[in-house]
Amino acid sequence: MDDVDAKFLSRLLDQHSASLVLYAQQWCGSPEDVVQEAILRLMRQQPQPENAVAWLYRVVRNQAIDASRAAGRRTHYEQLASSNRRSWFTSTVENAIDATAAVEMLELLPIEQREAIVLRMWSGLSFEEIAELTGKSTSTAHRRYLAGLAALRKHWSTACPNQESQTE
Amino acid sequence: MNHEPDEQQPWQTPAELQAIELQLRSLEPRTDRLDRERLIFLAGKASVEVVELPTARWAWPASLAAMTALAATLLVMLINVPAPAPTNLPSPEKSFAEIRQDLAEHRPSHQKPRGISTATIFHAEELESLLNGKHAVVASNDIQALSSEGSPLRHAILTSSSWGKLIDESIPAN
Repeated sequence: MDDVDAKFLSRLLDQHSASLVLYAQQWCGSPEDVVQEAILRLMRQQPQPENAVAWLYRVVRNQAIDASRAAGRRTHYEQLASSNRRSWFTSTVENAIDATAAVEMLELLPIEQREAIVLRMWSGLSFEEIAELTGKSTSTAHRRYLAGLAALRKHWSTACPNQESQTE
Repeated sequence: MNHEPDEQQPWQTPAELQAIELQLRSLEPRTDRLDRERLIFLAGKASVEVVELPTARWAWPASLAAMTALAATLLVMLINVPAPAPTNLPSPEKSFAEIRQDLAEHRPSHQKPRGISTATIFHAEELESLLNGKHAVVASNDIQALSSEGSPLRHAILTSSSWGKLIDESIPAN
């Protein structure tokens, strides 16, 4: 690995590793392994893909879905998933919303809506990029995103009626 | 893929959802879940590994199967090859004895049967012709007696003195 690759990898990890892990966690209980394997596959690719980040998200998505199918056959998956679900975000006092509560609400959403929200909000992807990644149209991606937000708002107002006024 | 939200796009979030969107956006994914140093080490290791092409994985088994099939085909063809039609060979016009005679006559000189030297053959033939003729001489001092009897001796042994007398008699006197 030369200097260019090292700098590219370092920048890739700085900018996308956290969001990639969060994205993979939407399906499987061991997202770190999925992201690590995807990055290693990227480094083995000859030639390198034109859009490495898009390629990486696609590989992470496919591997996470495969891992969830394999984990679905294991009996301890539920315990594993529940043990990881509270560690999606960094908990700071500056957060306008409780991280644990947010995770609980996000987990209530259908996977399609949750995926759109995670990609848009924490990966910074455009709706066109989300549509390309998920194999749907841009309007579908946007509709899922809005539906997810609406559902979260509804859940939030139900779970935290005192904070509902703050979000209005 | 950009990280900045594209506000210019037509996909706007309705006003009633913007508040919850902002609150969620304030959350940050955990950054400590990947072992960065280990991942960089593994990535460097992976970047120098030789990537085996998918076709290379099947090249040897495929070639082995092809060669096995070829060998089996050739074996079947070899087993099932038809027997050659019988041909009418001409009967020999000469007997074996004649053939052997011809061979002996046309045999080169260096292939003559061995066991006796050429010089020996020469002397034996010369001696035989001499004994078969008028000059049969016995290795004896009484040559005249022997000659009068007129019995040619085929197996005479000539001594040096006998040879001398024989030569003297053969040379006509002047």
